[in-house]
Amino acid sequence: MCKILVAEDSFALANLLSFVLKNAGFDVDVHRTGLLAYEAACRQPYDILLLDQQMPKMTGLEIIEAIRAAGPNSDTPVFLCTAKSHEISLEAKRVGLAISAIIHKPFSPKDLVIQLKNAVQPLKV
Amino acid sequence: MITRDINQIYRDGLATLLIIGLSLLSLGFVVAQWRPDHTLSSYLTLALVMAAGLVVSLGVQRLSYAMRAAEALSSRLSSFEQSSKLETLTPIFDAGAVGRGWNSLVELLGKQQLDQRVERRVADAVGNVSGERFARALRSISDGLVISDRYGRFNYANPAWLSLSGGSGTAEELIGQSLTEHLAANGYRNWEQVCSALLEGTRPVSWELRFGEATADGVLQLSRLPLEGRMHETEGFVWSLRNITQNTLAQEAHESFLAAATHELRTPLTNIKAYSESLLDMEEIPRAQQQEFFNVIHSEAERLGRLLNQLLDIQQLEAGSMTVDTATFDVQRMLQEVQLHIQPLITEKQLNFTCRIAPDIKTLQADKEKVISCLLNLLGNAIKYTNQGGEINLVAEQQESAVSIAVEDTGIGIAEDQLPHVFDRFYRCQDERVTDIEGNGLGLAFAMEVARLHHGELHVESQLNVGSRFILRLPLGSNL
Repeated sequence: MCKILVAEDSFALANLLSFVLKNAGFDVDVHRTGLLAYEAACRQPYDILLLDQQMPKMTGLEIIEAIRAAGPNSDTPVFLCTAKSHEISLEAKRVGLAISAIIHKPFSPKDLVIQLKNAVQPLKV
Repeated sequence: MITRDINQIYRDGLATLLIIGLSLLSLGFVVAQWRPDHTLSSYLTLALVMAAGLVVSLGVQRLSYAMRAAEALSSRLSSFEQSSKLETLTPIFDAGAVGRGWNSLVELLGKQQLDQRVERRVADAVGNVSGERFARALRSISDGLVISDRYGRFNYANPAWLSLSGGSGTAEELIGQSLTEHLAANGYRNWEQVCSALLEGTRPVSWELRFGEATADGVLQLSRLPLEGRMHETEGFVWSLRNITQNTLAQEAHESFLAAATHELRTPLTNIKAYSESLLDMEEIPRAQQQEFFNVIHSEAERLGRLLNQLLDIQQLEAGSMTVDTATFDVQRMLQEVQLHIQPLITEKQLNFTCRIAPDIKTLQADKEKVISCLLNLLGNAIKYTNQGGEINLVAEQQESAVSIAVEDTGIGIAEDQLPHVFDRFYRCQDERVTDIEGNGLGLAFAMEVARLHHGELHVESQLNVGSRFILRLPLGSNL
């Protein structure tokens, strides 16, 4: 089963993502703050990461920067959700961070699932 | 001068007449001696000689006039040479060609002089008044103003320029100095970018000069306009310097407000979209799950509505367009109303609520509904951020010229570094425990605006993990 780490501070959205992704066959690990998600990513490898950009304590970009430096997820594909997709994509380019996809908020859960599945196609979902 | 000329000419005339008389007499005598007979021819000869004598003496007189005119002319020219005063060039009393020529020249000069005098008078009058006015205007305007040559060397700088640019030296000392060097000495953060373009081209152009990293450190707007010469060529530049710190701050605040508002609005919108789409797209969602999804959509839509209302309230308060219904009301009764509103929430969360209202508190002149909204915001926060079993106190006291209402709680408290920001719009504390509690960071901003609108104050005291205390102080007799 494909293991996904979800970091989302909105309670409602975190619940929905958990439900939708489980339904789509993912093994979902949800965290409500950036710091908790980062700590989880340091502990174990994931097949894919789905991070919200704006979170307390640690932003999505900050998590990516930290996990890329070292740890079990330095090469894991990352999806970043943000309402400011243009600015964030520029910022990611500026600091030289590899992001698989930037998901613009508000997004469609169905499309998100398709994109996530495509990204982990070689793996088993 | 003219009198002297007349005397001279009169004397000359007498002398000439004498000469004529003597010549004629002597000629007549010579002729009489030469032809003593009284024939017609001898009389004719005598008449001819006398006529010749008259012609000669007239010619002599004319010559004498011309000589006198030349003398008078030379005396006038020499006195003009000495004094350089046009007044010395007066007409001369002579009808001769030289005199007539000279006199018409003097007349012309006189006219021209008069014209020039009039022109100068007018110019002086206008010049003095407007020049002095201009100087005063330039001294009083708050914008810095400089006139420079084509190469950016100071010709003039007004006092505002000196104080705004932050450079040293007086306006007189600056004359001839380079504007670029003068500005470079002030260490603007973005000087490098501006400096190279400063004297490029002649078109009107303007730049922003920033003092430090933060906008509040100071922002100046430097504008350059070409100064047209008489032939419409660019003779130099007119530079102006304006302090735009406040405008820039306001613009930035507006932009960050818009950004924050957009983000806050997008969050419930994202949830509504995600949940409703899931309901539409997914098959076989258990009934209980479906119900939960509908509940989320409903509560997020409600949240969106509340958010929009609060945004409108705050915008109206700020724009001053919110109407304030000032009336005198009983504070005790108003506080009872507030208690009624919050009682269900307190009971639900099992909090201990006490209300202490000083008996001497009577009335307040203010907008009752706004004050209630303000207190409900403060109490709502106290309830939200205090754990089950905690305490909430509402304490009202009468002060000399104000009523003070404090909302105290034994909640999670606010960290010291977050305290200065709690009244900022959309600000939410960087505390993990806050994440799960619904809020948009507008409640305290609204409460603060209500206090300001009543010329009152709203203060906060707080200690992390101990509790918070918000004190609203409203003047008794509001002069709204």
